[in-house]
Amino acid sequence: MLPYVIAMFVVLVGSYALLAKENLIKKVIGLGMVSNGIHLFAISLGYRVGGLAPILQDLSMSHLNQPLVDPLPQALILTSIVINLSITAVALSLVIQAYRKTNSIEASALRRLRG
Amino acid sequence: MMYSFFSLMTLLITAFIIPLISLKKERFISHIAIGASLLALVLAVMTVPFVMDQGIITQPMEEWGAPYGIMLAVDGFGMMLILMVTAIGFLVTLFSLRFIKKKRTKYYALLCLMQVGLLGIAHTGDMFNLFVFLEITSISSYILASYYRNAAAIEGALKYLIIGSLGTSMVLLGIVFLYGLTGTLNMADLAVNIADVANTNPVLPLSLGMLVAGLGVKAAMFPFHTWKPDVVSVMPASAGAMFSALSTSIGIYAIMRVVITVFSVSSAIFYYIIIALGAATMVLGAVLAMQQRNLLRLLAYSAISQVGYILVAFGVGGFNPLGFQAAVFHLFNVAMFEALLFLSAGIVMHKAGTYDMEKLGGMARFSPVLAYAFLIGMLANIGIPLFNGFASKWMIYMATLATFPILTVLTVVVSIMTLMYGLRAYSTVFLGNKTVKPGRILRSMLLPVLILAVICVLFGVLPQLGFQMSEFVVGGLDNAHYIAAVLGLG
Amino acid sequence: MVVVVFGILVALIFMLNKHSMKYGRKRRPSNAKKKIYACGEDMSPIQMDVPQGSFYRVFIRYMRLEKLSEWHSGDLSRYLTWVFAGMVVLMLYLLVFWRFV
Repeated sequence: MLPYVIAMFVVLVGSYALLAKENLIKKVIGLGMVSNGIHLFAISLGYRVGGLAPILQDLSMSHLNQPLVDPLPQALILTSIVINLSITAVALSLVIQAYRKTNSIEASALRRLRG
Repeated sequence: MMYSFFSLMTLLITAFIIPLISLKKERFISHIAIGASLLALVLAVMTVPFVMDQGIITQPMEEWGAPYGIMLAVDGFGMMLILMVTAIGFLVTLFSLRFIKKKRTKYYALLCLMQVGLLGIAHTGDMFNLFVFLEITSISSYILASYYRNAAAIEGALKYLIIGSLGTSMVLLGIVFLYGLTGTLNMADLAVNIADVANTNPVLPLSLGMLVAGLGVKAAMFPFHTWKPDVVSVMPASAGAMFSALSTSIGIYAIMRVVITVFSVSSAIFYYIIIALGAATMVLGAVLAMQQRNLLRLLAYSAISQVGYILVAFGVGGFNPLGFQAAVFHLFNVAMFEALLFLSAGIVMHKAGTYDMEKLGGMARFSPVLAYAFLIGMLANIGIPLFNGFASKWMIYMATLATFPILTVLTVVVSIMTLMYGLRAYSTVFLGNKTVKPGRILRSMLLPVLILAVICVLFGVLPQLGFQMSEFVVGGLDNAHYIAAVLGLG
Repeated sequence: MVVVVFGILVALIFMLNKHSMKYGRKRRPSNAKKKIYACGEDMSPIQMDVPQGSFYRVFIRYMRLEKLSEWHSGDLSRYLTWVFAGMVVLMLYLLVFWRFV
């Protein structure tokens, strides 16, 4: 139960950083924290107490009567980590471009499009 | 035989070949892109007889079938969306031949990637595949949004990135909740397992809420629509057509797939909030569109308003099956006339150089054909008889009249507001006193506009086509058929 | 028969109107009549021009919908708060009402 609560807490702190901070880089950090919290949640879903790594050591599969950690969330989270890496890269490059155009990295400087 | 999967692979390979070829010969990029999208369209059309014959076609990706492996499952709804995506993608690529002059590599590669993402969401039978293709679509549209490097475009792209990433994180969280509850990610297997979960388990409504909220960011529903006008008004108009007509359609397709197939929500309580959100979206889109100065922003708000119509019809469909048919038909029609309107706005920009309605005027003297095409799109938007918007809006009126007549009143009032901003848009841009010399529009830019206008009129004069199509699609949304086809073969 | 009499009366009234218009006075509308009718607001003719964004301002003030464009002010934090609030409302609604599904 505890890992899930901590992961949800990380998500909440990340979303606080995303919503309440004015600095654009802090918003990107908050976005990263939200996705980190979700990844922690998913990986702790796969954990089995006393489990081994889910790798076949020989083809006789004689060790399969011990608990193994679930490999499926690990694969999904690897994909999601790569996706979030590219989103962070695009976000930071857009923040750099915004700094060059408006000379500030506050979100309140980006208010041209309104209505 | 799932030929439409090969159209996805074609576009994916093209998206990676284009940057490689641009190192050597840059003149051939647009030809490659046109060829690839034409091939994708042909392959998608070739799949139609199979789907109409068997109802749903499946293809496992490896030797393991469902629920262990990844399955692709295309039923009537997915087939309709695949046809829409490949057709409008081809028309937009044809339009961009002369519209986009600089940075072609980036534009065509991202356009192909966006089509790959949209096609992937329509093909998939697996929740995580949905997430991955949703992210592919989102990332390519984040970069495409900042195509013009002015301050407004950077701002629009940044806002879209942050709001969109929050949305897809919510989708991921919903998928993770579902995995923790059932242990599987295949849509058909989830449908079987969710039916066994107890009613008092609190994880199910949380995950449904997260999924609908996250996909609602993509589909531009009421509290999540705020990014859309900012982004669409700074993109190139052809990318805006692709984005506004297709991304929102795929978002609504994903919501309907999750609600109907995976969760198989059959009781009425859930649909009340969909109706409430849809009604708010309708009114909000129409009211804000009346106050706009920028033509693309007005068209973006009109797209948001039409999404509200689809959601209201979808919500009413929980009470009366006519609502689902109306929602599906209106989805098709909205994609068609919104693409038409955006492409015509692109031609206006190509000639006049601005989207500001206070500086535009008198475009009908420039090209009467363009004025007629834009008028057809606007009249279809409003819902005048003889155009396709009328046929689907009539179905929405009938569906809401059978369940909640007050929704019919609201829908008609919003149609009147649509008339208000639609006629203002047309008369400001095309009529008026400004002196504009008559000229010719390039054929490659005019042809997609004419084809879409003909489709709008065709589905308006012969609405039986639309009714048969939506009946076929909704008949295939039956849960048991989907589960049997995906799990039975795998 | 009644219809014929009615038609003759209408034609008479019409001819009298045209006759009196030839010898009538020049019409001089007052200043208040020349202004644009805007339900009690003061709007200049430039503002009521069709391409302007304020063309429908009277309608929106009448329906009390001007708050909507204030909410779309362009502030990113406010937009994100709307997204979050929407998600929370949706989840709470479903959590409360799910036992009736």
